[in-house]
Amino acid sequence: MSLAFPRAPAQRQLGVGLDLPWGTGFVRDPERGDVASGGVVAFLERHAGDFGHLFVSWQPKDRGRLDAREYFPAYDDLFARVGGAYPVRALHHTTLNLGALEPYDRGAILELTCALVERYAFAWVNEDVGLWSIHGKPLPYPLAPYLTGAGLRAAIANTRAVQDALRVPLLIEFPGFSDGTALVIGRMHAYDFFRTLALEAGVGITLDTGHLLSYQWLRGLRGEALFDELERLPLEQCFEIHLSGCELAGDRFHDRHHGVLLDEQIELLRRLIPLCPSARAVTYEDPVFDGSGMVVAETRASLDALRSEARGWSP
Amino acid sequence: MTLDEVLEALLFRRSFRRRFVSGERASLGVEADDEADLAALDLDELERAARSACRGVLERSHRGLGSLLDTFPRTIEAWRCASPGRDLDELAAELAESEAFRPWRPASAGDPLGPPIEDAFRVFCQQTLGPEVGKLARAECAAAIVRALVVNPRPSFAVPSFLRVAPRGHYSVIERDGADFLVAALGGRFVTGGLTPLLGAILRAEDPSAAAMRAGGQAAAELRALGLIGEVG
Repeated sequence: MSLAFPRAPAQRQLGVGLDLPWGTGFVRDPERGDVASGGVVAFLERHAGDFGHLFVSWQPKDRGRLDAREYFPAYDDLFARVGGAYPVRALHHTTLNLGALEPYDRGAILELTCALVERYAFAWVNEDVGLWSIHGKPLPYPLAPYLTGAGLRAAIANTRAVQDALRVPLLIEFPGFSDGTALVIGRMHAYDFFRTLALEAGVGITLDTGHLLSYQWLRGLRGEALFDELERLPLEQCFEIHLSGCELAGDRFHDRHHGVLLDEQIELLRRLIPLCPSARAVTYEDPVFDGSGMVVAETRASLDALRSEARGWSP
Repeated sequence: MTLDEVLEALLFRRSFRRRFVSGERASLGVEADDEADLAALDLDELERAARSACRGVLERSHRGLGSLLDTFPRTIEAWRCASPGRDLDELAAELAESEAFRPWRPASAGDPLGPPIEDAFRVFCQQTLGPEVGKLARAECAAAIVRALVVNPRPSFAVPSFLRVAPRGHYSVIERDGADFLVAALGGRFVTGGLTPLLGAILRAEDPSAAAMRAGGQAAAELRALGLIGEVG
């Protein structure tokens, strides 16, 4: 199998991923126009020693027609201020809609994506395999793809089409099944669906620890059984591992993105590392920090745990 | 129906969802081959996801404007008064179920010609809440759309036809406190202000430039200076 992994990072490292909503992550400065917020810049400067790479999540800026030039000022500002400390960068997409069954016009968004990739030297593009909209109508959270034969064929075709349009590797991410997004249509095991998709489309993958745990939680597994069946995943194709804050409330699994990691997520990371020989980017997603760039107290232990794990990775 | 059509209906059409939950399948148009795939759906989770998807329509924030809750405060207050005991989940479900909602597509969906959500909401209010609330909704919609046009002079939505095209942008004459009131996006600026009856009549005319010419004098000059009308002849 010919599989193109991102060229960087060359060795396994810890990085950070940030959602940058317009209005908080990116803000409007009356004199300079669209810029990265002070808190984001302060956080990235403060933790440049902790993180070797950075991904940013793309969010539509407004209701203008898609035009990369509208995004340049904010991204230019971000990378002018912190880019030196983060030479390895990636783009987390939110609009590719890889799980869609219906026709979905990606022309404009792919054109914009290619322009961003070229200008900011993003090493890869990633997106959760799921439904980010349905028949054009947006969903608050991406839903899982259709776990059916037709759903799998559509996801393969969508993934191939997107990869063909990009000049850098596309990493497909195992979708989430947490509370509020756990609509399962179809009878395929999601690990099998994802493995076949990755193999057939010939792309690298991202494994999100919260997403994997949420699927097994949804299936009723608990305790040690949450870590079962990892061999059903396309582990050889894993380049990136995500960790974003999750929470168990009663019998519900929430993907909060609040920076606080479950012990089970750290444990799953420990188990995945030896199983995924090509996993080079381990990314702490959406840590919560204040306006001065300090991580909030609740997040501190999770960051420390990841630092500790990273120290144990052999080069 | 294809599976994606079924899922869209389950999320956004409450009446469809209720019939599905009560066990209907073929009568809804669900293909027999898909029934087994749909059997895995957790119906409680479906209800939560549908509520979240519909509330998202009301609460989805647009840069420079905010959400429908921000841009239609008086209309929503009128809905509350007309709908005692019902909450915003009800409003969201009714909106999502409506014919007015069907053609709506958001900015990033690759459909530049769909109506903006504000116009879908205006039509919904007009059709379900009567002419008085409809009038209020139209005024709030006009103000919202012209503000959106200031933020995005090249919008990814179709500008509603009730907004008038002017040489330097778009405008609408709405009623405020019983008098004519201008809301406009002109040359990248949001322009609002009270209108005299004469100016209101000119701007409402089928051909405002010709009407201004007929009125003559200061009126035409003022409107022309603002970019609301052009030269005639």
